[in-house]
Amino acid sequence: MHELGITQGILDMAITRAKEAESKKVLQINLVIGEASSIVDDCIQFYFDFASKETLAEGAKLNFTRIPLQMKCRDCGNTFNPEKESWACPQCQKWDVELIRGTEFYMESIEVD
Amino acid sequence: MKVTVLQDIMSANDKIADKNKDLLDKNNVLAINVMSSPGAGKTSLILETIKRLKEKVRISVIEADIASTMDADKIIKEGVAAIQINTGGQCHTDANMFSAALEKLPLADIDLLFLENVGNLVCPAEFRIGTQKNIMLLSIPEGDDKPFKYPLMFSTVDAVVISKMDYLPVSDFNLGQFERVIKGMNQSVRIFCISVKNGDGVADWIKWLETQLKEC
Repeated sequence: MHELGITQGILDMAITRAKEAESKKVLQINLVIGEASSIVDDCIQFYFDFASKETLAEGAKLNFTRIPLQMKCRDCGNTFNPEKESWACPQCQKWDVELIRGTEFYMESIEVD
Repeated sequence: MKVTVLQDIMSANDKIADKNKDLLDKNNVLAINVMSSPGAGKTSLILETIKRLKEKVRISVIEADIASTMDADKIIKEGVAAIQINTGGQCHTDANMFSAALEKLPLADIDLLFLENVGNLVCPAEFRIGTQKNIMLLSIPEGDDKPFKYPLMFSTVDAVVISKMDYLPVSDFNLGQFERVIKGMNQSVRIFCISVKNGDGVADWIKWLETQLKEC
């Protein structure tokens, strides 16, 4: 349950960028979140609708792009999406793997008016 | 009109975390963020560490809980300065809370500072707070499947302390497999197998801490 604090961060960032672009209204906010992150999309939109009241981001829609976990085998170099209960490389069965995608959490862009 | 942003959502938190780390470095304080599920043994590990090191090392503890001062009271009983931060319902400590707690501590008189985070394997992993080392505990009764459920935590910590090892004989916890999984995804991780109850493995943990203190 840390979405409220994070939502405030998203709101501040969007407003700062919108002001820099000399725009009057934020219409959409595009976020990229890796699967390893525990952020709940619906929760953020819910808080955002409250937090953004009477700001230039009021009513903005948040769009989430989820990045699945991706691993790379350090042994054979194979990249793969791990299964729920196994992270062994499906090609060589080794466990020496690196998490290369799925921890992202950033604002990709905003749509402004 | 589309405006490209490409900025990390956690950047505001991370900036404060960097400041916290600078402050700790400047005062030669080694700070350790201790994370785990509720009940894995964070307080017990800290208390045992205090018992073994307090004659040699000046230790202080920041206890973060959603509510109550129970843990801080236990630490203070050991004769060590502890402050409690209540997160007021928040599931983790963020850099800002840690910064406020640091302001209340006489950092020049501290060598080793533990931040006992809120019991939770999910959210604390997302918030860098500025400690030089981040560690987690996983107790045997919790089961060996946890790295798959909390990959962010297991892949980012500096050390995993497997606690309550005295339960291993009556458990189906597959220790070899567990170690293989976390070492696979986190190459530099140190693993300690300890039981505070019977003292097994605690010496290795203490030795690691002493090495970290020297390098700090």
